[in-house]
Amino acid sequence: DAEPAKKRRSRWGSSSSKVALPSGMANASDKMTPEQMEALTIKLRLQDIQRKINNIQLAIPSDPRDRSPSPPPQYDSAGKRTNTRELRTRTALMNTRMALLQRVMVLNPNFKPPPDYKPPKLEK
Amino acid sequence: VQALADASAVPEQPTTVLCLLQMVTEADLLDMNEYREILEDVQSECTNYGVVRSLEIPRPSSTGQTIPGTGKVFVEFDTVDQANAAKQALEGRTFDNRTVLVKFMDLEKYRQRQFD
Repeated sequence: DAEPAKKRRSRWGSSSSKVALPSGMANASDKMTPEQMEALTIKLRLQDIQRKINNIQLAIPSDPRDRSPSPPPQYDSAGKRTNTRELRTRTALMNTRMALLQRVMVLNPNFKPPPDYKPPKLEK
Repeated sequence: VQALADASAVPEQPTTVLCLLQMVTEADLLDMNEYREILEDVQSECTNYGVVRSLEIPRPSSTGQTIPGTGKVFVEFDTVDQANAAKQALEGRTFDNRTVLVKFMDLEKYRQRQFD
């Protein structure tokens, strides 16, 4: 009784992480370099992520069917749950934010990262 | 950004063909397995919004010759409404962690493979 082949994960991001783009973005790309265009879309995405970090409910799909299954609960020594849906969502947003900041720093060496940006630790 | 202000001033004429930007890199396209998976991902997602009549993802040539439209993805739908629905749904989504941009494309140009 072999397990069914695991379905490959699609490259598409979830529709809950869709970001609102100003109209004409795609047409404007004709007049910008690919790097400029990517930096601009990342900036919009970072603004959206910041908005969601400030109000975590915006990042949690309201329909439970759109949420992925939760991992088993974890608690700290005081018995307080450490992996609530809000905390997990926040961590995921922070990780995405760090990755986007890193990318934008490659695209634009003059970009000043926010004070809480920590460069990734280089592994030996 | 001035280019953005200029571009948004002209209203777009909806068509049945979408041109999707910032989805694929040349490196992705050169790898046959990646290329097949990308085709599959685009096809299966776009089918949610209508009938996909045709799909073109130009690949870079192995000889280094420039192929028009490399890095872009073209999807032809059955109707303008379907294309419009797909555009609304997909623009701003991510594909491989890149933010997707979408514009309409002239059907004749698409049929003549004028991808640039």
